[in-house]
Amino acid sequence: MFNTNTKFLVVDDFATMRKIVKKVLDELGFKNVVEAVDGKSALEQLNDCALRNDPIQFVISDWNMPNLTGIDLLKACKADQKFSAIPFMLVTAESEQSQIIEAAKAGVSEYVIKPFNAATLKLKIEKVYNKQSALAKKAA
Amino acid sequence: MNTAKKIDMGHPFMHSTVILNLANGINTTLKTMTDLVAIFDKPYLGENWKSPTEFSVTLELSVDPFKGILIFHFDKSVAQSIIEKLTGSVIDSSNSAEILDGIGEVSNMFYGTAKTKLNESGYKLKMSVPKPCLTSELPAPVGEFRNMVIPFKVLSKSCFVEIVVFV
Repeated sequence: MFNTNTKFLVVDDFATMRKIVKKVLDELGFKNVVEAVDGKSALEQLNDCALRNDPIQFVISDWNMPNLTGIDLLKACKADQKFSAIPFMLVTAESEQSQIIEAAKAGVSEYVIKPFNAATLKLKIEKVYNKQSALAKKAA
Repeated sequence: MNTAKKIDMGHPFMHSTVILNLANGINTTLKTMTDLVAIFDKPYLGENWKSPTEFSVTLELSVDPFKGILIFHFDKSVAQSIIEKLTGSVIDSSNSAEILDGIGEVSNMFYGTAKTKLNESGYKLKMSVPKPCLTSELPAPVGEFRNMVIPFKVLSKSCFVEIVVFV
């Protein structure tokens, strides 16, 4: 069972894609979702939520965005002790081998290539969520 | 003597590989996310061509030393149908902002899918952030250019891919 209070951050410069991802999260039972339009505002959200003691627990981000890209956001998260353990999924139309390797090296939890169908996205979110839950149980 | 460089089908952005991969990118995206199909017609060189559509999305095409612009032109009803199928919700046809946002994302997927395949076959296309706009507000390319138009139909309505190449 999922903890449906898990707080998600969905990052994409296009509202349409944020809506698609939010719909999938909603179907999985996750209602606690905040949004950001690029990597820069995502970092601000991560910091703000951490300061309010209401931390982001899962990030789903696009790669190709203005200001700060998804890969740079991922690297920034992994470099910051506050955010390094947060599961981070890239949902992106960037699907070249070199980019997938770069994302893996940077510590991405899962990589979903656009275009995708909703079932694929659901499965990958579940996979990352379950892995994270198992790790948390093991640590407890 | 006219010393201007002529564009022919040998130009890397007007090569059949680009045309085929763009067509594949469009159909893969539409099929996977909306279950719609695009039916392509023969491309042509479009001197003084103006798109008759309502919505367009531009992306930069860049492979050193070549520069160009890729434009996806959408019929309004097609754009609306695609977005409604993508999001599973009805959109207000008078809400241009919602349509522009949706076609921006769709074009990102069209281009991303094509770019991956093209780069696997030796192109070194760079990333580009899609810029959606009303077709009537599309800025005219600056400088000497040639363009190629690839027509396609979705739901029996005309849409176009336009490749602008600077010379």
